[in-house]
Amino acid sequence: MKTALVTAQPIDYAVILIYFIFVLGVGFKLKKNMKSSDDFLLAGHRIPSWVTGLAFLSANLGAIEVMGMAANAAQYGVMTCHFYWLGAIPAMVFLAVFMMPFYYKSKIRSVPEYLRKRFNEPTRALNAISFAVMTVLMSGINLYAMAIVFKLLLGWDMNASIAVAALVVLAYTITGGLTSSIYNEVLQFFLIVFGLLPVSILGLLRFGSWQNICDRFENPGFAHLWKQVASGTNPMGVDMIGLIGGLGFVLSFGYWCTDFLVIQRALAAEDLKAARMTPIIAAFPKILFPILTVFPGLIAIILIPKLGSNNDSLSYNMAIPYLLSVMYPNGLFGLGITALLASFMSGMAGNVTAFNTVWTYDIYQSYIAKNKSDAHYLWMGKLATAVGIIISVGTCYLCMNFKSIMDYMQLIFTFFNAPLFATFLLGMFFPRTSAWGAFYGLLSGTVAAFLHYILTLQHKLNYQSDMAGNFHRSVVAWTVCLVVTITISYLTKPKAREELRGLVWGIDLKDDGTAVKTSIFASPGFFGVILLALTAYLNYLFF
Amino acid sequence: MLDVRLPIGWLFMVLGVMLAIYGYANPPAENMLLGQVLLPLNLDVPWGILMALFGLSMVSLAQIDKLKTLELELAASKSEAGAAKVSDTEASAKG
Repeated sequence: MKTALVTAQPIDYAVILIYFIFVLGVGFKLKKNMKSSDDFLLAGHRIPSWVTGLAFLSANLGAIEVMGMAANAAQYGVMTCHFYWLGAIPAMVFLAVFMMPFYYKSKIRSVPEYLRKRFNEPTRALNAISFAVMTVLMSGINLYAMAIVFKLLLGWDMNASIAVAALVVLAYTITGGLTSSIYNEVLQFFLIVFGLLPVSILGLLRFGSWQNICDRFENPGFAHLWKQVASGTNPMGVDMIGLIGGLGFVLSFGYWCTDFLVIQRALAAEDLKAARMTPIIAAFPKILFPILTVFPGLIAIILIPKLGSNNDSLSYNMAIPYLLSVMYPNGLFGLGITALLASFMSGMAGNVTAFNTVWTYDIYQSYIAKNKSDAHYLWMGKLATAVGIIISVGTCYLCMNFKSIMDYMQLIFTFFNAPLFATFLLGMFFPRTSAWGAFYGLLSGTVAAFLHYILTLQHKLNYQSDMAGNFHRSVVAWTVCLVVTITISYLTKPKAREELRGLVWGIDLKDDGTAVKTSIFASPGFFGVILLALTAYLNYLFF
Repeated sequence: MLDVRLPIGWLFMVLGVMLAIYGYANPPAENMLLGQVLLPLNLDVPWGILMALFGLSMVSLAQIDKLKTLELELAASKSEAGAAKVSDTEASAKG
């Protein structure tokens, strides 16, 4: 078996160069449409649902998804599919059916703004600041992943590739704003499909059938989703509470239903129906995405048994890049590298475009410079884009200290998204939740996650794996936020019912006669049932 | 505003044609980790053609939508012009 790495040829560089030209071209072509801060930061609410749907999916399709999921699959086997079928689809359906109407109809520009309307200014400020910190911390992961892939596959200097990628993202986000970011996310979606699908096809050709692949796993648990979870001896080291409560409920709903990075794509849709269909349209390809991410990871661990033996060229994170270099001919190799590059750049651009909106509207306009002209906020949005990218370069060097990018990401989610989901759940479905209840609940949930992390670092709390620790931490943060919010809500005065109109389940906006009745077969609920049935079937199939 | 299908379509057409030509001119790579499976031709060829076809379909869809919008605009301006003509005739009949 030959495992010689392909060396990049001019054709591969040509593919990368042409991709760069198109990305920059899209940004410059959209520049003339960026007349107001609304155009720049919110894409002017005029994007069709299939575009926002794919952007919704692709904004999450950065380094973590492509490299991290394949790495997880090589390390933990088919159980990685839990991140899709347990940790994404149910939450995406819930967002479309129950939460999106509140987000879209309340005409908010960002998730923190919903918290201001539903609760008060301090809750919004707390969420805006923590979200701004979180996005720049996440954004750096993409730069880091890209630099390491380019260093190992093309021999490029890490600092130079970080600088080039940061400059390209800066160029297209500062010219075309959110629209440019969304367009490039859709472009990236198709590049990833075409760039990575041959790995799975060649892998299947190589082994003939799924059964042949399963027969080659050293650990038979690698072929099952649930079989070893109850016994606690599964490769991932997680138990039922961590998996269902942590990943399936808190982390997944916390990310998909409250993270402004993904919600922002749906809010850019042209109307409410398109906004509600956004997560549904994204969920259908999401169900199948393990074919592009998990499956190559499984192939990698069979073909490259040495994978995971060091933290550099043979780290689990290198599963996909390594397969590209041993399976692809030149030309296709360039396409595969471009797909990875596109995913890193748009993962970063997604974070930066969410950061600039929250900074401009929820922090700068609300607390630093009120009542300025729209041109001023447009200028600030652009400045925030540039600053966000510079900070991302800094955080890129920070995440070099973590051994797994997936653990780093889930750790950040436990601090910010896990308690936030409890706040949203109570805010949207429990009118008694008071403003101060929400504020102190959110604050204590985040503090609880930090304390839990410190106790884990000091080995006072021990888990089988970092991932299991993250899942349990998220349940703790969520529960603390829930209990504190409810307790303080009963001790403080709730908002008047009239102020909650359109913000809480069961207290609707007054009918303005514009509501359009749609057939039940075209409703998000109908597609949601199909998605959940498909997901249940896949869980049964790979039980 | 720019139809997103245009840049996607053109990018895939350019890359697809490039890959197909390059693959046709170069023999299949030998160092594939495929064991006994031998591919009869360079993978770049079928994949490049597939990409080019996908790109072509994206551009075509964008063009069809553009034509439809133009037709609708034309029909709307015609009906407006027709309505203006009728009101002019009515006004001159009254006069």
